[in-house]
Amino acid sequence: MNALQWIELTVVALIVGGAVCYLIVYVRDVIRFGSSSSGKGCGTGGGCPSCGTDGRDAAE
Amino acid sequence: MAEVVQTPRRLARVAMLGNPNTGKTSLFNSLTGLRQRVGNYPGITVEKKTGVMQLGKGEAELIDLPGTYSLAAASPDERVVVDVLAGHVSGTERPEAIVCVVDATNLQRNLFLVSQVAELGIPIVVALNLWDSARKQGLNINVELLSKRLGVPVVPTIGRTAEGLPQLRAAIVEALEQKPLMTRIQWPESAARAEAELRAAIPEKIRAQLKELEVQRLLFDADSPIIERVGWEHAEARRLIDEARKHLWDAGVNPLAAEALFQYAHLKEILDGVVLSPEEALPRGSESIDGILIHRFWGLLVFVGMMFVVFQAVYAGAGPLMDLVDGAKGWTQDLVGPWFESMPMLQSLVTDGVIEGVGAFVIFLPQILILFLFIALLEDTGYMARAAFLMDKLFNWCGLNGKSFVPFLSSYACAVPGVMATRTIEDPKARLTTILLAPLMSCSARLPVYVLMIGAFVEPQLGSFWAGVALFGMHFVGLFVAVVLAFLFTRFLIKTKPQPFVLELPAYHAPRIHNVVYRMYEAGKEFVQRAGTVILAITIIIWAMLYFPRPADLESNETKAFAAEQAQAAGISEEEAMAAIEADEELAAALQARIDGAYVDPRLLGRLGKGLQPIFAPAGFDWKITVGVLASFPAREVIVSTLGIIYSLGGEVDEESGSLREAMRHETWDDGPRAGATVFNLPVVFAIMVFFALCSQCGSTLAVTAKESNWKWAAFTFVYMTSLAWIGAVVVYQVGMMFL
Repeated sequence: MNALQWIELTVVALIVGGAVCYLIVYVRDVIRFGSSSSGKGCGTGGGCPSCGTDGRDAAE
Repeated sequence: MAEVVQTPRRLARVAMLGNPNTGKTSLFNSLTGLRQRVGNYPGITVEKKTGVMQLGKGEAELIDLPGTYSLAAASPDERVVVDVLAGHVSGTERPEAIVCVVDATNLQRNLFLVSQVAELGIPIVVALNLWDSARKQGLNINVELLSKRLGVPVVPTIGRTAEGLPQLRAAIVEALEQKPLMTRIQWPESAARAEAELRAAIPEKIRAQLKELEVQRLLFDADSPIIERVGWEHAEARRLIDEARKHLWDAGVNPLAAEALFQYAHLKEILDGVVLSPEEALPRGSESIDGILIHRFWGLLVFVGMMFVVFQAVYAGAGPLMDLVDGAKGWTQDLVGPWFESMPMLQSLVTDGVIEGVGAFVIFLPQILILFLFIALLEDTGYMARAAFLMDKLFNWCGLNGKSFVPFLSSYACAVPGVMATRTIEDPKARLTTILLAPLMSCSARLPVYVLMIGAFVEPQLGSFWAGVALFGMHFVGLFVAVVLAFLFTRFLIKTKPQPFVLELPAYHAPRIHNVVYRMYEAGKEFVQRAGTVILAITIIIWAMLYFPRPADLESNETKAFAAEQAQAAGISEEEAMAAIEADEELAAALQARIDGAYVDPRLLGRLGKGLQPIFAPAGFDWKITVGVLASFPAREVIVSTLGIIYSLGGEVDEESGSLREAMRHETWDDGPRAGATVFNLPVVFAIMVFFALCSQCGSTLAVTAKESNWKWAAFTFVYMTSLAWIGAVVVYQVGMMFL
């Protein structure tokens, strides 16, 4: 592999790795949101990581 | 020398209370600005919202209590209100004053709650909110007389524009300093005796835990949660309460209706002469329209007709805009592609992965905007409340009531707020049933899947009218299945009792452009945000799983094999065949398609799709659809971008084929009993749509289901919905193939 191919592979690996990390954090936030009935808040700012709904508006 | 002791500054506590839809939250926001804190009440999922408001030179803590119609604590939200006002919530001290926000256009009903609160003996300020609406309706409210009769400050306010806020702040200061108590109802003798007898009969240990108001609640409410809270033995409580209620029965009054009867009579006296022209303000237009719109037959007919028009418009109206987005996607690919000419892997990631995947998703933005335009119009005119009223009878039949329809309606936009909206349902079992069924409603994420399938296959074969009918029908599949399942769940799984349903029907009015545009903007923003975050991330991962591994010698082997085939067919040497392929664009394209196709076999997702395809074979799905289905479990709309990438990387989507739809139309079976036949026929298309209509493919919905119930019920939702989806898809495909 030449230098350009190494650079290309590195950039692609970083992008794919970043996407995987983002998805892991997203899934973690979703699980936290689902486990937040303890009354301590979900640790994600109170809203659903997917749509931001905080529950109060929905309930009213 | 005197010692100065520094103590932490303690703010006065003021609670804000009112019926739902009185503009309470707007008023709270105006009073506290950005100084707000959001958390939960301990041990429950009801949100606690507090803020600090400026009062002259001082400050006070303002607690925004959930909206409630009465203190008869049935739902979790209402229980919180009673517990906070009685000072039973740890970490939340009893308020020193209460701001009761009332709808100035509906004084009598709103003052019912205020009158109940008066029994607490806490200073009250009444905010006559929606004052502008009252003026528009021609209502002439004598604020001074009302204040005099109630014995507390009354301030007209407009939460939206912050009008009347300085006066409200001044009134709160007055309430904190002078502690004015509201004129309390003089209970008729029967009620007073019943209350006194109950108070005397309650064991000392229990009585010590009760506030005065709570004894009344025990007397007037059915199955009050207070009994459980104070740990009173249920049978004994029931017996003593029933004995006390005999005084009311003897006076010819049903104890459960007694409070409403007495309070409304009391309020009628207070409001006599206060609202000077109520007759003119009655929404007579609304009443006559309701004669039709909530009629048990005509109302349902209008509802179905209206929904039909909505989905026809969603389907037909978005076409030109979709073409525009599609054109922009192609233009971007043409523009960006050459930048990475020397880096084919990165070029593929950007054009075949990111732009194709995200673009295939974003193309449905026009549909989302049109759908939310109609949802906003129907909500803002006041029609949605009528729809809930209409559904009450149907839902009663299946063990729920009209209250469940409100979460179901919300779920048509997104199941997450829909599941949260179940908090207003008092009966825990009816609430759980609604939580389990709300994800079946056709949320906006399903729309791209339906439009892709209907646009590619139903419209070309059956015409645009039937395409609209198909889209309309798909949005009712989930509701129909939910009604049947509710019937089964409430009889065999979660047995519920019939519940009364009280719903406020707002007056009809012209939709406000600001509200409609804002709703469309919010929906569009969320859709685009998803495209740029989760969808983008999944798109990149799917691209990688479809691109790697890439055997180094695959391309040269396939080229040699192709050249050999061409040489044999034409009776020329392989070198001559290679030269012919290079010179002929058609042959070169055929070779590229062969290479692209050959790469699929060793790829990760290709292997996975082919390995799992037999599970979905009875529904007519090939390995590509199987991959799309598997990738869609975190979020169902991912199938659109996944199919976009699969066909793009497979070489099927290019400048000539034009679009994903074209590529799907030409897809054929390589082997098996249907070898050579097109993959996507109408039974397959409807099987896919039914699968997506019924399947549990949203991580956020499962999370919110767990949040509002527990993970066990979330797992149950996933299992029952996914099984149902598979069965539904197989039945649709197998039955459909019988007629083909």
